[in-house]
Amino acid sequence: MSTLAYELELEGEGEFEAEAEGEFETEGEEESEEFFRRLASLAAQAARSPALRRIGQAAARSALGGMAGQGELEGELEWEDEYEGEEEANPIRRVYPDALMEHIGHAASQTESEAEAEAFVGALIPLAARLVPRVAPAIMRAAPQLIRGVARVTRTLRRSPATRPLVRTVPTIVRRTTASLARRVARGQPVTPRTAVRTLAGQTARVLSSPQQCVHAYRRSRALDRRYHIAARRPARPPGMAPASARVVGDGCR
Amino acid sequence: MAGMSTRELEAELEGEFEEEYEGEFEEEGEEFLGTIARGIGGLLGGQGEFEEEYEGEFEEEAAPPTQSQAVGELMAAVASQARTEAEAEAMIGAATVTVISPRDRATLRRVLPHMVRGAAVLTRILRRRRVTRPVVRAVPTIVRSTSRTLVRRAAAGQPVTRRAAARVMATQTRRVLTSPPACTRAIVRNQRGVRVAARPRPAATARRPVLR
Repeated sequence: MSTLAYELELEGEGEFEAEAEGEFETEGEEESEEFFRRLASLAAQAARSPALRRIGQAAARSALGGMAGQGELEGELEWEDEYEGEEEANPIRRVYPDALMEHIGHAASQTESEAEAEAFVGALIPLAARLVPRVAPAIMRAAPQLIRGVARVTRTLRRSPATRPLVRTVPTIVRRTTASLARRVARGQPVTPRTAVRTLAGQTARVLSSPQQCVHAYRRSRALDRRYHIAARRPARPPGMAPASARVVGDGCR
Repeated sequence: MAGMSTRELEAELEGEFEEEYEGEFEEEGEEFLGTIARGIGGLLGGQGEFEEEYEGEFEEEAAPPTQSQAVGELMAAVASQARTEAEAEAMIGAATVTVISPRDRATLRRVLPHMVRGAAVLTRILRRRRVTRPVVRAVPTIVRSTSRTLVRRAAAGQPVTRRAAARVMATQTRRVLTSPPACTRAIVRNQRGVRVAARPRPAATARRPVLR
């Protein structure tokens, strides 16, 4: 299928109508692979996808959960235009929790049960909080609201087989939300539960609206999930010993 | 029915099947908890496998919750009152990860996703009856004692596999659900954790530089 045809297909997905399901049956790895391969061809042309943008906006609205209208979301996107990459924790120490997050994101995209998918993505919040210890208490105070927000994003993406592969980007969204909140704390700005959810919504729209960022998130997810499986094959280390993945893998995956 | 429940619970906890339990549990309240517990206990072939590893569990549970554990208890409390199954499981997934210390999480990296799933399944079962919904508050205690047991196994050089995790979690579930005092202690601990987590604290801001 050409990129244009794919664009048109995505357009048809618009509001995630059930009748659009036949064309994009994505039930496993191969389908996810194909989905992101198509997105990669869009990304390579530095193209924008109006359909993807709509999906991103819809998912971001669901994160807000009636907290704000479209106008507020647009404003959020403006001040969230500052993402500068991962920060804070030592990249070597981060490999294991990052890999675990991606593995959990993968599990959320694969499970058939919506509730179980939400159990997995809910677990991402405390894991992400630990990545930036300085901001962890603020994130954990906002955790119930953030968990509801990320669960709603996941529900929105899983609703249609066409958009279900995008669940693989949720760990990236959560991680970026954490990094953005850490920057607020560094600037001396307060982090309230409302701020945290708005940041989540902004990062949701930002990642999902961009083919480039979606593809980057997916590739990162795949690479780190593979590392998780390699690490998991090793016997469990005794408590207190540095993780083998951290000893062996030093360059991160970004 | 007991045998049937045992098989199904084992399958659920080990992630082999996605079958539901509709119509299996007719009892209410304590009887329902007993059925769950007997089913889970049946995982161990009716014997207390790993029983010797649980000495001193209750003493450890008597310690006041850390801030992180308190937040995990709060999430479980929210799960017990959530309007939808999906929200409940999102909260319990987060609670599972939160109540396990970072060091233990690193040790249990292989089985942590299975523990999240096991806690979600347990929550789903407990929420089926209105009368057992409050017992969702006991899930963090079950998860915490499961993780401690598994960490001790790892420290002793024993394998920590998905199956071992399922069995330990099943045993801990049985220990809490079949014992009204243990169940009460777990719920009281949850309420204490909720109070700790709900204490007002200043909003996070950057630390001011220290003047020398």
